[in-house]
Amino acid sequence: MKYVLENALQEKLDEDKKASSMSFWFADRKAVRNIFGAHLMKIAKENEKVVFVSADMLSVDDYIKAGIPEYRVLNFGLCEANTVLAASGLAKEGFIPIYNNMSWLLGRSYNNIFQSIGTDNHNVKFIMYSRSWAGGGASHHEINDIAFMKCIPQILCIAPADAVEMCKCITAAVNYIGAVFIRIFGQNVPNLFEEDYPFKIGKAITIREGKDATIISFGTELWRGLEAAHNLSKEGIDVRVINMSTLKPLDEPAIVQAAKETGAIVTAEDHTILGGFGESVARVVCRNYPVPMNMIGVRDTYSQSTTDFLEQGGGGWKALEEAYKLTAKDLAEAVKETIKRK
Amino acid sequence: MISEKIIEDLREKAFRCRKDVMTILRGSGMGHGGPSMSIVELCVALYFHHAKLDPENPDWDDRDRIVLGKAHACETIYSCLARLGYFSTDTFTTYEHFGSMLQGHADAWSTPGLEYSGGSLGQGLGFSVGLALASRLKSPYNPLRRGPDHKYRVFCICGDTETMEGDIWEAAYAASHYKLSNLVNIIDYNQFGAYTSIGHEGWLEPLIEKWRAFGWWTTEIDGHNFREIIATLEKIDNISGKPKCIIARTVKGKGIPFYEMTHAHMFPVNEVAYQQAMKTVYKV
Repeated sequence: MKYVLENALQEKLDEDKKASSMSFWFADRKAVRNIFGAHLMKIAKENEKVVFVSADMLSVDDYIKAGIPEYRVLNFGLCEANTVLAASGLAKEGFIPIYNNMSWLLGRSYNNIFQSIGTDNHNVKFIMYSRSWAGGGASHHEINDIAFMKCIPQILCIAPADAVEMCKCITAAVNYIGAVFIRIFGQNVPNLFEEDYPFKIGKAITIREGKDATIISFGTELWRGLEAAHNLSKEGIDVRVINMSTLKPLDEPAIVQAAKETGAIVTAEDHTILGGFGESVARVVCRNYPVPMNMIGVRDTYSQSTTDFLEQGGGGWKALEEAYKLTAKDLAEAVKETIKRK
Repeated sequence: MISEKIIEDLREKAFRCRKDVMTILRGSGMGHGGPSMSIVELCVALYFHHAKLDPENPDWDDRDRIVLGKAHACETIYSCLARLGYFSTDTFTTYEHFGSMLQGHADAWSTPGLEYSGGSLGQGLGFSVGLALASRLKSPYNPLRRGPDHKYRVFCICGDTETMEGDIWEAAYAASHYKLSNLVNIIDYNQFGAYTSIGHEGWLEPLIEKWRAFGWWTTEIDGHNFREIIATLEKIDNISGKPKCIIARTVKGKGIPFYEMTHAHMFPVNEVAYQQAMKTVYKV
């Protein structure tokens, strides 16, 4: 498809055989955060109702330098519970609070989100980093945030696959009235899309056509899906890849169509499979058109810290992906295993 | 000085409110009667005298916000709202029924005139911090540009045991940091939790020092004395630069002798208990 850098992806994967690091086709970590920051500033300048709330995770001075008035940048200190509650009160009064933090910290204010934001569906935007810090260890690895956020009634759950989609989904979320949880990436991810990528809340997009099986990816796992599909094509296995960036509301027709047309589905997520994205897809598959399925994700385990997390290429994440079986190779094996059960 | 006539009128309203609470409780046969009775005077003083409200126009942007942090004591608020005309008193018999606008814990999506959906304790004050900050953001004279610093006041009614929740103290930090002078936290100090006596046994004390240490202007009053309640509410309007905390000494189950003696938190109300309560309820 036009907006996907599929050719570039293939070229770079071929080159990758020669190179020991995949870093060259990653967006620079700092660059991703700069794109994110610049986009937030743009939104805040366009919409005066946008306010930023934070629990000791922003520098008010940086926002002032970027032209956002001080009174629209509210830092509540290391008080995650109160940050969420104050955001809820601000949203009640017509403001659009944007809360940016590491996603695992949502657990600290979970009941507050469930009651004080969820019940009245207050217009708060959670833009949370996943993959925030490989070196942080088990406490800092976001493996359960989807599970506890997706079950709160009415809150939308979105995870973009790259920086272009990230900007588009943040804009869409701010224009939507109601609570939205966006799971962005605190680490480098490859650039996959051109600017004309047509993001729409609740709409899955088929990135690669195929007939033997479908990989449905959530968030940054898309590039693993594409890599796996690319490798499998060399073995004569034709795999469809769907970018399901919205988990709630789920694009059920796209899943059912994939089940009907390819007969095997493998989901990919950087999250525990217990209560994660894969289970949501399985719910749709088993009710509408049961086909063999498999899920790639973290098993019933905690992770651990790893070094090199600041290196270009996310070396730390690579080590974790290998340890917890989230790599393209694992994904490809899961696809083959699932096809056998057809 | 507030006139005797007004005080007498409010006492009459409080008496009616206590009877309403019993009628609402009878609607479901069960409810949080004790903590509802202890905030009757505080709520009547706010809803019928002190707060700027317009029942004809519940979404009026300049209205004062009253947040019930201790949302289990919703029966008292339901009575006040209905008597002000937000909805009919006929709804009292439907309390907690499926589809009723009167939920078991105060829910803003369901009941006209409510600001906040609660139930899980400790969250109302943080929500009120958000409302108080919004009041400043909406004010044409932002605090950082000096001038009148808010559009409306926010009154949070918080349980005494509720102040043991960590979220309360996170909110206390924030309100003090942002100098939210339009925020008033009223603590219903009735000395009892659901099953635990917390007042005299050292859980909460010294409460007044705690709030002062967090940077709040704090005072202690008799929470059943209209003269004291109203004088305090009027006085704090003139204090700037700090959030305010009123620790109101109250009695759980106030107004109904049997409940006063038992410090009842949640109790069943069948027809016999209802008739008994209606016979013994007295004007505080």
